[in-house]
Amino acid sequence: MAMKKIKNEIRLNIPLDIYSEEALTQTAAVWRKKADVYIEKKNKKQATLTLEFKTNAALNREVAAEEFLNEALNQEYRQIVGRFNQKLTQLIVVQALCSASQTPPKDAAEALEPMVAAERAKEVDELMRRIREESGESAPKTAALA
Amino acid sequence: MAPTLKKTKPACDTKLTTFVSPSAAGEKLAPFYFRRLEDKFLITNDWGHHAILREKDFTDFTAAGIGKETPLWNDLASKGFIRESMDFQALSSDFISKNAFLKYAGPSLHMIVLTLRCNQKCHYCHASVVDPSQKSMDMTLETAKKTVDFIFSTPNPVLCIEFQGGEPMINWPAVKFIVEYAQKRAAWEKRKVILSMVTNFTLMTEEKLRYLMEKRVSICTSLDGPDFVHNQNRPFFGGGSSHDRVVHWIKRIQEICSAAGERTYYLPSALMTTTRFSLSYGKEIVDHYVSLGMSQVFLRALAPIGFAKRAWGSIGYSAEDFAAFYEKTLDYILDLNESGTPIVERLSLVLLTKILKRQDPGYMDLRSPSGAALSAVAYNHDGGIFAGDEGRMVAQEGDLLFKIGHVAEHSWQEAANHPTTAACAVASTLEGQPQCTQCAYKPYCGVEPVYHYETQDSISGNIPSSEWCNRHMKIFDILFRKLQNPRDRAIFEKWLDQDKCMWQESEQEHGHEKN
Repeated sequence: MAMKKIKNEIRLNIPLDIYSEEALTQTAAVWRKKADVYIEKKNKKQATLTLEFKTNAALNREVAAEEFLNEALNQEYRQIVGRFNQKLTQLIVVQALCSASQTPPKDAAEALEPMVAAERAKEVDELMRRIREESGESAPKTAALA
Repeated sequence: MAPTLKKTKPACDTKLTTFVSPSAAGEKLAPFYFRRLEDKFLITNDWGHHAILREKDFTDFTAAGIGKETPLWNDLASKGFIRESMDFQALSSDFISKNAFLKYAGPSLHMIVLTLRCNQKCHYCHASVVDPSQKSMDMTLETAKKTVDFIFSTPNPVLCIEFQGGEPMINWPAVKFIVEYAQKRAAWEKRKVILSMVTNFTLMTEEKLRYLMEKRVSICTSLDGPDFVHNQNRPFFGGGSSHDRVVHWIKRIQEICSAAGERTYYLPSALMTTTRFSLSYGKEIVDHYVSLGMSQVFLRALAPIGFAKRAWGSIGYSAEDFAAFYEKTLDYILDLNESGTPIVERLSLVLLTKILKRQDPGYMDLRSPSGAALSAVAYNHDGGIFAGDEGRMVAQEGDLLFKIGHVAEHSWQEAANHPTTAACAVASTLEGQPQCTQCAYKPYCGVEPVYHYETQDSISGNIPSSEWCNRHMKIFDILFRKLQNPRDRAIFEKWLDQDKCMWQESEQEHGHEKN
């Protein structure tokens, strides 16, 4: 006989003047391993959240709801702080990313005479061959990488 | 009915005191952060300056009531706390020095995982190692070449290549190839390459040691403490004691360095990892490092990543427990220093470099933004490129969130512009973090995206309930308390004068270029 699966589920009425939709979406993403979160917007001021837990283990509903709302508060606060400090954060992050992704020093190999480049390639092949020999390895029949 | 909001007590006890700052007074003060430290107040600012004030002075300060040209006013003015007297040129210079890493041209640290095989089964292993029979988990020479080619395509003029694993010496051919190929490339292209090996020493031989030392590969090992602590934490695969071999090779390298003369070779270094078992043996751990002639001990906390996450129930501990261990052990180290034994605690050195010298010590876990991908990149045995070694460890558990490319398929620009790189940078910039953005320790702190992803399912984390935050705030509290003790402060200042953080030495001594 098929057993009806009992779902661990919580429904919350959320005031949208405290928690933005974006914060709730972020919270749902953080909770992805614990529960599937469904957001149903009733009107501009209210939404209903349904949390379907991924475990059938006994659930302390009040604690779970509070934990979810704490995370939602964290995400809301992060949105507020993010907007307030947006310009400064952008300056810092863009500086760091631009510095890190600079053009590397001019590739010496590209500028080399073909003969020098060929000699260096030969040196590297010889190095690889010597190390293989020392370790008793045979060269691979096909290259491990493209 | 709207749910009742019940805020969970934050893990970090900020003990903030509210005060009313009249708007007129507020206009005279430059932006600052504050925190109560028992009967005093710590104030800090984004330039990296700090002051510790008695309660009355703090009240006067916030009311802009400190007499002009008094010693206290002059001190606060010189540190950028008084709006009318800010020397922007000097303060900008302080900010740039403290945040010099923002202008570093790409990653300086490249961690190459030569194999996932290991002959030890450490209880807290982050690397999620496999047993020594699985040769398919070794990096091939072809992948090693592609990895070095990729590293040399990154823009930093100084490249630190660190061999990791598993146990990297299991894949000795790859060690030799990378050492010699990287040194050839460095000579051809006139760049600086610094090589280091992180090894458990159990596979070391005289021949391999001579090779590494002649090639100027610095060697770092794990030494968790005296034999009963080390062997408890770091058994061999299949059981057995590893401590004696570690000690043997530390002493052997010291012998060779001593015979060769100063600065011919790198002295060995060692790191300890604190487990629940270690918490009771701080004194014994320090004594052991001293007995081996080590100049530094790094009181490192355990992070719940990899094996450690699975074993946390038996080896983990709270931030409170770690802070108690840290303070007690640091007190013992300071007592030793006072009695003439100059052993340095490395975490303190890193944090004090930020606090007292307002310089970046190169400690990537406590940068804003963190060093993930921007300063440190990890290369897996199969050529995968990751935003830091912790990100690679997450991949071992099957989650590729922190993978930013492959050495055979992507360029450095593609890896640097990967969405994960940007997401980690944004998530770890403290200006965007609740609580951090108002914290007195913000000028000296940082958050780690992978740690928070593993513990709180989010790269941004939930800082008020984060054990990372809790632990670091407690350590900062301890250090700022000790800075008020003349004996402790004098010892700290001596450490800063006489010693450099290893990364500073790598980057500054070897001409790290800043633009």
